[in-house]
Amino acid sequence: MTCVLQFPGCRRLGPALPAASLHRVTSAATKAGWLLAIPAVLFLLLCFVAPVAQTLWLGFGARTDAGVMTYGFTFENYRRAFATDLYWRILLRTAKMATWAACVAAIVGFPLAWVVARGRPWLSRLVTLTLVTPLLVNVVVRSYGWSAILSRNGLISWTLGGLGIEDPPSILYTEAAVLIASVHVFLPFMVLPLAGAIARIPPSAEQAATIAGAGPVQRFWRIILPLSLPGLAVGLPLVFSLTAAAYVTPQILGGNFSPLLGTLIQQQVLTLHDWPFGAALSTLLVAMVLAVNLVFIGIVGRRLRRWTAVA
Amino acid sequence: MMTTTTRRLLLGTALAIPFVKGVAAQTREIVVGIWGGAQGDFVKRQIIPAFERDFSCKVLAEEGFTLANLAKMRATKDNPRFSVMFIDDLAIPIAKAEGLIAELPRDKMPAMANLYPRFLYNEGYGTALGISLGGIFHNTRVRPPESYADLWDSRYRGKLKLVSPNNTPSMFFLIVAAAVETGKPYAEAQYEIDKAWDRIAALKPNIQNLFGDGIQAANEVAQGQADIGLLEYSKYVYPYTARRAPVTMAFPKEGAFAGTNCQVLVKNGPNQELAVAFMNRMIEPTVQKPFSEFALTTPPVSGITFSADTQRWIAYPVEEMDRRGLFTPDWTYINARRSAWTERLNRIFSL
Amino acid sequence: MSERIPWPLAAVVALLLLIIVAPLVVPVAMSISDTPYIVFPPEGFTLEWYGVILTDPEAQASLRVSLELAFLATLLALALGIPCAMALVRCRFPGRGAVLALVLGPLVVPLIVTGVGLLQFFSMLGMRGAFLQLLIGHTVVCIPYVVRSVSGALATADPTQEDAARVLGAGPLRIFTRVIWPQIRPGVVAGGIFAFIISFDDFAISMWLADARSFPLPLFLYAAIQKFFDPSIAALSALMVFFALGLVLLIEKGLGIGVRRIAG
Repeated sequence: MTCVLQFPGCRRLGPALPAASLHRVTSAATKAGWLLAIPAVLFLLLCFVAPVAQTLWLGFGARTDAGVMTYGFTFENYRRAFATDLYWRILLRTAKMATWAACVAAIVGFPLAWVVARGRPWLSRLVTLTLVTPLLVNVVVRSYGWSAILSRNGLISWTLGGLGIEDPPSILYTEAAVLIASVHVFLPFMVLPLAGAIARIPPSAEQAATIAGAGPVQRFWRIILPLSLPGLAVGLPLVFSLTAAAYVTPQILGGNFSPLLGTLIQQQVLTLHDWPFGAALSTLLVAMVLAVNLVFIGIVGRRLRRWTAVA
Repeated sequence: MMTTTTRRLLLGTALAIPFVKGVAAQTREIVVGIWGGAQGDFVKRQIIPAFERDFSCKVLAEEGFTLANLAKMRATKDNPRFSVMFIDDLAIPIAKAEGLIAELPRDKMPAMANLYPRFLYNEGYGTALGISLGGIFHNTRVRPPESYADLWDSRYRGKLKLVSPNNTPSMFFLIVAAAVETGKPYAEAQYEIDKAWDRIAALKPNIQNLFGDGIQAANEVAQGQADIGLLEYSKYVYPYTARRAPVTMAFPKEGAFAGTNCQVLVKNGPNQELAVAFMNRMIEPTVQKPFSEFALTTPPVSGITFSADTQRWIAYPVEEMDRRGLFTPDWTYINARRSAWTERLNRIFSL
Repeated sequence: MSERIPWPLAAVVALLLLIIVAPLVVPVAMSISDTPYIVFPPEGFTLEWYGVILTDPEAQASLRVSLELAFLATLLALALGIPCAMALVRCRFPGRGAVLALVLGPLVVPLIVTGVGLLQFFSMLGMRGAFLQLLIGHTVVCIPYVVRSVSGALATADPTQEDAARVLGAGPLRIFTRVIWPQIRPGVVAGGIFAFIISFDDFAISMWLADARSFPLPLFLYAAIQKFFDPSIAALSALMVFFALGLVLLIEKGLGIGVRRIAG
């Protein structure tokens, strides 16, 4: 069930799927491939690439002075983005936060994925449905819910107060709050592919390891983890990308103390009316997310072949 | 998943689209970009229906976010969708410089006779609609400070909410900090903001969070999660004070700010004549009185008598504004520097 | 391949599920408070706030727009995404990598950029009709999810069955309806559900393209937060949680198997 198509180059994650799925390399297939893909390609070129390119081009094609936008080719926006440490430090923070979210989602997601893959059908469904529910609830509502839980007189303080613990530290308006909320909503993107990978681990592999005298810890590190890599290979970059682009949660739950680059882009566009600079920052964000995805896929792709060979 | 419901919905949409178009073609129509909140609600529910009856036309009120309104005008410049747009006073110079708005035809707006001259902007490119008072909001259990300088006191550690640099009142905050630093009145302090950065950074330990949504922040102050929020417009707070929520505004001795909501005429917008009539209607005293009473904002026109009850919430007439030292910043000066200042604020609070 | 779940694992999972549900339950608790502002824990009990929201004609109109939009965007995304996924998984053609990057692009570009871009673009074309614009914008952001889940299903489907059908003389249409479709159905269902959710919950694109006639629910919610200070916001939030639960149960009832494949 692993998606081969996660990101460019991803099909190198071959071992997890039948090699035959890419088996037709004929000219007829070339034609058929283009015919099938062409409606979506045309639609996206027209309604996604053209508008976005037009907007991103503003980063080179205009600059803003005193709130007024003037056109003309310039590198000024990029010079400014790199000359001030603010922007690359926040870009770095965005990458860091997204990495944390991806890793925490992987750790938290593993037990959930295990139950989805191996639990009884009713349990598996219950977990899956619970996981998906937050996605259906508007981000504003979710953030509201979290701030009611994490705030100084919210659910946690209230519960702790009932237990006799007074004045516990509040984690609302910290990076931790943003991390919690991001993992919360993007968890299904990690768990479901992971569950797919776990479900495909052949029981014989584990039995063989048990017979060979491997304990549970060894079984996990030598069998289960390597064989669930295809799931992680889908989940990690997806959670990373989604967290990196978030901008509502850092504002509401982070108290604006630790904005991510998305928040600054929104600020440029909506508050400062500086679309050209906002476009430059967006280009940086897109480049960062793409680069991380490609590097990740490159590393995991190689690892994966080695590990699966061992297993 | 394509059940009968889907099919019915699809069919419904297919039928509905031509129907809507047919109606639209018959009546004259303008699109007005308004704000949300109590003010927007009143415009939508009271002013527009009456105007539609009188002019047998259709007015579509598009509830925007004040900040997005200018962005929307800019994005639709080639082919304007809006005829009238409500924006804040500080955005008028930008909109004018970018050629997004047209000069108001005074001869077609008789209600302009009552407009206080100070509320006609940029040589006739926009009028005010309502003035809101900028100050601090606090929980009614907390005694508000006499002076803004008191907010730097350590007893407020972690108990203040500061407006985010995304919102216009954060410029008021910069002016306040400069006034505290230099001891000068706002009118002079606004040109000396660069002296105040250390003082601004010194407030950081007292700040619980930077809020983007004033209403939510006021709500949290009402719940007692923080003592004081600075700075915000009274129009977001007073409607709830009036409904007995435990939060209200205060104006320390340095003075209150004028937060002015304005209307502008979109250049080449559809049905200009109707648009002008609508703008005229917005500043007629018969509309301004109930509008001000509902939203608890101060009208920009003369000759309205308010009850003592309403008078509590507003600064009216113009002599009262002067008595309270209602301050309007030099937006042209500030707009030119806002981007750099925002960068510095980001650096202080976000790194 | 279900097995017994050891109790420590079960305990961890139960705790995690509780944490996942908690922020969705809190608005429900706050919505019954009879104070004129939002408090937690709630004080008093009233259902009045639900009345306020449910009888609001604008809330009803927004709900209808959101539902129509989500259904149509889902259909369009499926119509464009399924063939594209088939091309990507079954055929290796020059430019395949570029198509792949293109299809996943909407996930990587910040939505605010896509939104502004679309607004400018539609304005340049002189295109009116916010509903159509919203539909196009939503379809753009839905396509990646459809392609992902359908190609996931295709990748695990057995292509030798298609070969067998071809050898037996079946035409492409017949192969699709009789062999491919049954195998990818769960993926299609899952992709459709995902597309529906993404559209129904979209704020960042809608905020640029919506107008007064087509004002989707997330925008209404945001506007309402600025308008009502009181627990009717919590009530609206609670209603949205209930609606989400209803949708999930519907999915569960009709298409139980599909959900697992949503992200896979």
